[in-house]
Amino acid sequence: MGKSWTVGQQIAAGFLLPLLILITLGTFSYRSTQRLLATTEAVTHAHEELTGLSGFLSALDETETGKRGFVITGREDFLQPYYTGKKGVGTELRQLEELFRDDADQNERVKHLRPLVEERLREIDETIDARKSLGFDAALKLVLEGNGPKVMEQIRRIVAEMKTHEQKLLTERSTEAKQAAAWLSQILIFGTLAAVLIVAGVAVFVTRGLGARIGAAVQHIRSAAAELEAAATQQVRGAKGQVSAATEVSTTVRELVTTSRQISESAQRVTQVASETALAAKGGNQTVEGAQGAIDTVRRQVDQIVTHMLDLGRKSQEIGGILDIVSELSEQTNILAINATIEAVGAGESGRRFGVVAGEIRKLADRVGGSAKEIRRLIEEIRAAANTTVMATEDGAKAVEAGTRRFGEVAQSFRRIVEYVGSTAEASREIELSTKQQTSAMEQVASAIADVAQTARESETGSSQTLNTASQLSGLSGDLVRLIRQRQEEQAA
Amino acid sequence: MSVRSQERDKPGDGAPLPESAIAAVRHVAELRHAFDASFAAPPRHAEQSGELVLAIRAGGQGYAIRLSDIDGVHECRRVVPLPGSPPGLLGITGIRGRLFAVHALGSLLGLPMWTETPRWLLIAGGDEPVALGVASIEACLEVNPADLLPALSTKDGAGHIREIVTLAGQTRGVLVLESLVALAKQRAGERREEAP
Repeated sequence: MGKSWTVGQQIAAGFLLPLLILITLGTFSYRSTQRLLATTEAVTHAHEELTGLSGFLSALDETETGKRGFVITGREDFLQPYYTGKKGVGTELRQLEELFRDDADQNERVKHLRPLVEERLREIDETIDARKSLGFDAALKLVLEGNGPKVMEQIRRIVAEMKTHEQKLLTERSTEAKQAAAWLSQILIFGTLAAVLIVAGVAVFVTRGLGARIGAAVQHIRSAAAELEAAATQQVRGAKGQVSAATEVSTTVRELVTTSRQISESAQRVTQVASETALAAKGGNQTVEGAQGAIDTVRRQVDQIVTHMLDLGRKSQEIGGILDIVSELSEQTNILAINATIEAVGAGESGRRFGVVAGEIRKLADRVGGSAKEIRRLIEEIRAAANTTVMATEDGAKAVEAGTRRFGEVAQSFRRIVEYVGSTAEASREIELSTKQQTSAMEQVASAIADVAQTARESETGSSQTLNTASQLSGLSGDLVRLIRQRQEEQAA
Repeated sequence: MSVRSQERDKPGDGAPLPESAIAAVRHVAELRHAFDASFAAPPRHAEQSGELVLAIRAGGQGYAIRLSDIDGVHECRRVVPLPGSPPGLLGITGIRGRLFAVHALGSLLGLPMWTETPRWLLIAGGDEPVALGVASIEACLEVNPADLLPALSTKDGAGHIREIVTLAGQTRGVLVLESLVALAKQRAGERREEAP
């Protein structure tokens, strides 16, 4: 038996030969049994035929018995056997025809019986009718003159032939039955012995082959079980580490979820603060724009002040020109008064009063001159003040210009602040939404990690079970190895 | 100008005026009061009047001249220079139909800055008057004769100062016009004698 055959093929091959023997033995047994049954049935059939022939003769004898009783007694009640026999003769004759249908000789004899039986029954009927109608003598005459005994003799002869024939067949069939039974017994005895021997040989051969192969397989299983045990141990350690890691990750994820919620709340507060800041910045922007408008007004007023001050300077210059004339006139007047005084002194006593008047005029001219000088000084101061004011106003205008630019920059800064704060609010809203989504995702991750941890714990449990199973498998493989070695040693011994 | 600024410009309202403006307003009020008072003062008698002197400036120096020493004061308008005239003789000018030789007073006094353009001409010299050019006539003041004090030194003014007087806190020398006119005529005469 080749080593490349599988265990199933080896077992199938081991069972194939006994199976063929059993099939052959069964076939022969079946055929012998069938033959025995057929012979037995033929014997039974022959017995039935013999019984039918006997019943036929008995029924025919009853008709004769009834006829004789009626003829002798004339009483109707003696005809009862006649009726019963006549009916039984018909029935038995049909059964004989049925029973001997497969036997041509016997069938031919049954055909010869039927006219004889009819003739016999007709003669009996005529006798009975004659007894009934003509009385005993007529009936006796018919009995005496009739050929009833001949017909009956022929019938008995044919029935005897048929019985003889049946007896012969019965003997032959019995012999065949005995032979078949003996043949069946021999087949059963010797076939069973041969089958037992062959099955035992095949069993030994298959057991040895399978024992070697199963032993090798069990060795492999043992080593595989050891490896599986080591792998299961490692898997248990890995599962424990996985459980620990999953637990740590789950804890970390829960902390992350908490942190993410705090971030979301902070982002919400930032959004609120940014919105309030945006409103404040818009208010500041409006205030700055209002202040810028006021500064523009101030700038226009400063320009008007500068214009007015320049006009004031020009007017002061014009006043100075007029004042020059006044000064010159007062100087001329003073000179005229001096000359008048000189003339009055020259006029002597008469000019003394005129001199007084001239002196008054001179004094007045001096005062006018002094006033003119004072006015000039004042005008110069006014012009200086106007110039200073113009310069200061121009400086103020420049400062206002600078302030306007500053306010423009401030307004621009406020607008940028509004934009930036709007962007900040939008970004914080996006951060808030993203953080909420992140929180939801982290919660899902936490749930998934919890599932992973649960799965890891289940894996740890399964690995432990696997380890136990591997240990048990290793033990079983060891037991199998020991059993196989013991068996081989026993066989070797 | 806004109403607020107009209200601010009103005196005594809003911000206080600066010191200079207050002094100017006070001075104007004093001038007005003096001007009005001059018309309300009683006429003074001629006997009660003091000596009238002119405060002048010539050659960069201030001097005083008795008003009684001059014959008139006129504005120096146009002076026609004379060819070959000595230093100090600016030329001749016409006043009210008469010709006057114009001498620089600073030059007669020997001052180095006599070349200034004269603003006024002082007429002096009696029958043969000359015109003395001065830079300015600062004032015409009446002084008490007791305030005219003899000059201790005659070096200043090349001997043409015999008295000093204090005018408006400044001491000035009172010029003697006779010697100055004589000096001017002398210089003009020397020039006339030098002419062929």
